[in-house]
Amino acid sequence: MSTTDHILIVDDDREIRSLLVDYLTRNGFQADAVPDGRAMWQWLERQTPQLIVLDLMLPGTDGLTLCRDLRAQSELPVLMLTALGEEADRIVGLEMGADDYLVKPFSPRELLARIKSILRRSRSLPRNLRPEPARYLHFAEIWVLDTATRELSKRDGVVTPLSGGEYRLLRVFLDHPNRVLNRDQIMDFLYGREADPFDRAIDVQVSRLRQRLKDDGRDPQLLKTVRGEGYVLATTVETRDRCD
Amino acid sequence: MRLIPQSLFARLTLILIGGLLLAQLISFALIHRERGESQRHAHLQQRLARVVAVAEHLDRQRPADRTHSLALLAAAGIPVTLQPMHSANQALLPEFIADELRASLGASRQWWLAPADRPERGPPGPPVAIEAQLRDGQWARFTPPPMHSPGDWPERLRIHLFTTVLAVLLVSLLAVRWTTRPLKQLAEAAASLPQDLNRAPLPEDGPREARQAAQAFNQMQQALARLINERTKALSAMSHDLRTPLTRLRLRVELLDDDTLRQKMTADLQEMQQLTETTLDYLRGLSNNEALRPVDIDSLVDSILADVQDSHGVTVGRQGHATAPLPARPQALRRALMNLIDNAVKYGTQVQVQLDDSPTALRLHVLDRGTGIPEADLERMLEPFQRLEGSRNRDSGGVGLGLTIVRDIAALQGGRLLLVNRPEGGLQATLELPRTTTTTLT
Repeated sequence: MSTTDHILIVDDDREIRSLLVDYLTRNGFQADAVPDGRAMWQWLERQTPQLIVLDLMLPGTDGLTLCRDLRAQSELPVLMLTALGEEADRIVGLEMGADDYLVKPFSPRELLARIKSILRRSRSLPRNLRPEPARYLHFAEIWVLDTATRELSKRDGVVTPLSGGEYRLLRVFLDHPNRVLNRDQIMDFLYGREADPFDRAIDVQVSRLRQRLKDDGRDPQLLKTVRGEGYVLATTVETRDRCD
Repeated sequence: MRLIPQSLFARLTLILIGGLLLAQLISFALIHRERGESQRHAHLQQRLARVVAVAEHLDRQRPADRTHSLALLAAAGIPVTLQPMHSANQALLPEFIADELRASLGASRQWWLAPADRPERGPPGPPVAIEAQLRDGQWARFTPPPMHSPGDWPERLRIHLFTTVLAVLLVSLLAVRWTTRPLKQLAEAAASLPQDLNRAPLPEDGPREARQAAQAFNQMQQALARLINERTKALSAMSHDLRTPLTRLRLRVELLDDDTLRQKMTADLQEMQQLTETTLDYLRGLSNNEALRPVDIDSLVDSILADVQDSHGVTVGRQGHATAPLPARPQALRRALMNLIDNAVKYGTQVQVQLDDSPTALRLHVLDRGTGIPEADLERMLEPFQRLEGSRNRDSGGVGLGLTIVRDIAALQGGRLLLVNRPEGGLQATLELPRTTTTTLT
C-alpha cells in the first residue's frame, strides 16, 4: 500500500471532517476535507486525489449530482457515504457511478478496508480495461447479480440469496472472469491481507458459493478448481444497466 | 332459520322467482279462461250450423232412409235421436241466451231447448239438447257433443314455468353480480387493508349507496395511512438524527490509545447503533414496499446459516428442503429468519433449522435447547418493545422488536409466527408461510 495515497473527503459536518482527516492520516493516508461541492471543485483544480469520499446529503449540490458530474469528466474512484441507508438510495448511488457506498454510522475500520479495496481495484486493472461500474452483472447464461441490492437471481426471476461472504467472493470472481486466482490473491481482494497458510476459509466459501450457483462440487463446471493454483470462474461477464 | 339462504344471490333469486311465479300463474289462469271462452263460442256456432244442416238433410229424406243417416251421424260423433214429441221439460237457461240461440238457429222451423245429460268433458253451463221439429212433425234431438279440451294444460304450464324459472335465474345472476359488485369490492379492500395501507383507493362509482360507502372507506384509509405515517416519521427521524453523533463517536473512539477502553466503547456504540437500526427496520416493515419475487428458500436458509457461522462461529444445521421457490419479499424474509436464528443462537444451544414444505404452506422451524419462554409470556413476546425479565434479558441487547418484526413480516405475507416450548426443553419458533397466497406477484 502506497503511503502517499491522497484522499479527499466531502462532508458538511465539521466534526466528522476533522475526525476523518485525523483517522485517515493516522492510518497512513494523506487526507484533506472540504464542506461542499463548490469547495470540492476548487480543490480539484489544484490537486488530484486517488479517491473521493463523498457524503450523499450536502448543502447546495447534493452528493449524487456531484458524483455524476465527477464521473462525466474523470476516472476518480468515489466512495459514497449515506445516512439514509434506504435501498433506493443505494441503488441510485451506484447508478450515479459510485464505486462503493457505506451507511452512516459506519465502522471506521470498515471505511479503511473499503478505501483500500477500491484503490487496489483501480490499480489492478489498466484504466481503459476497467469495467464501467454497472448495476447488473450477467454471467453463465442464467445468472444475474444486482450489485445495488446485492441479490443474485436467475433469468427466470428466482432469487438466490447469498451470505455476505458469498457475495464478496462472487464479486471478486466476477471482477476477474476466466482468470485463475490463488488463495492469497482472493484473500487479498477480500480482506486486503496475506492469507494465513492454514486458513481454509476460502475453500469453505468457494464450496458454499458453488452450492448457491448449483455447481456440482465434485465436478464443477462454473467455479472450477485449478489443481495447485487456485480457482477460476469459467464464464464471461456482461455488465448491463438493465436486468434483462 | 336455516331455510333462509345465506348468499344475496340466493335470496334475491328466491324473491324474484317467487314473485314471478305468482304473476305467471295468475296470468296463465286469465289467459286460459279467455281462450276457453272464445273456443266455446266458436264451438257453439259450429254446433248450431250443424244442427240446422242436419235438420234440413233429414227433412229431404224419407222416414225409411233416416235410420241409415242417423247411424252414419252417430258414427261421426253426432248423436241424433228421433222422437214423436219434444221433451216435456225446458232447459233452464236465462231468457236472453235462449232467445239468442233461437235467433242463431233461424225461424224456419220449431225449436225446443231441452235439458240434457252432461256429456263427458262438455262445455260449462247447463247442458242443453237442441230439438228441431221436422217437416213430417217428428222431432230430432241433438244431444250436446263432447267438447275438445283447449289443450293439455298442466303440460303446457310445466314448460312455461320451466322457461320462466330459467330466465329468472339468468337475470338474477346478472342482476346480483351487477348490484353486489361494489359490496364485494369493499369487502376485498377492507380485507387487504392491513397488508397494504397505501393500496389504490376504491373506485367511487356504481349506485349512490355504493358510492358513499366507497368514499367513506377511502377517507378512512387516508386517515389511517396519515396517522401511521406521522408516527413512523417521528420515530424514524429520531433514529436518523442519532446517526451523525454516532458516526462522530465511532471515529473519536478509534482515536483513543487505550485498547481496552476503545473495545468497550465500540461495543457500546454498536449496541446503540443496533437499537436504532432495529427500530428503523421495524418501521420500514410497517411501510414495506419490497416486491414479491420467487425465492430459493434452501439458499436463503443456507446463506443465513453461513452468515451466522462467519460472524458468531456457531454451526447451525438445516434439515429438510423446500420443494419449489416461494413468492416472498427476499430482504424482509431474510431479516425475519435472521432474527429467529439470532435469538436461538443468543439464548439457546444446539440450534437447528427444519424446513417442512407442503402444497399449502412452507414451515420454517428454528429449534433450540435453551430455557424457552414461560408459557404465560409466549403471547406477549410478539408485541413490540416486550422483553423477558430474567433469562432472556436486556444484558444480551435488543429493544424487544425482533419477534415483532418477524410477526409483521409473516403477516405481510399472509403467514404467521408460532412460538412453542419444546417438551424436551428449549423453544421452537415456526414461521408459517402459505403457499396458496392471495397476494400476487408484482
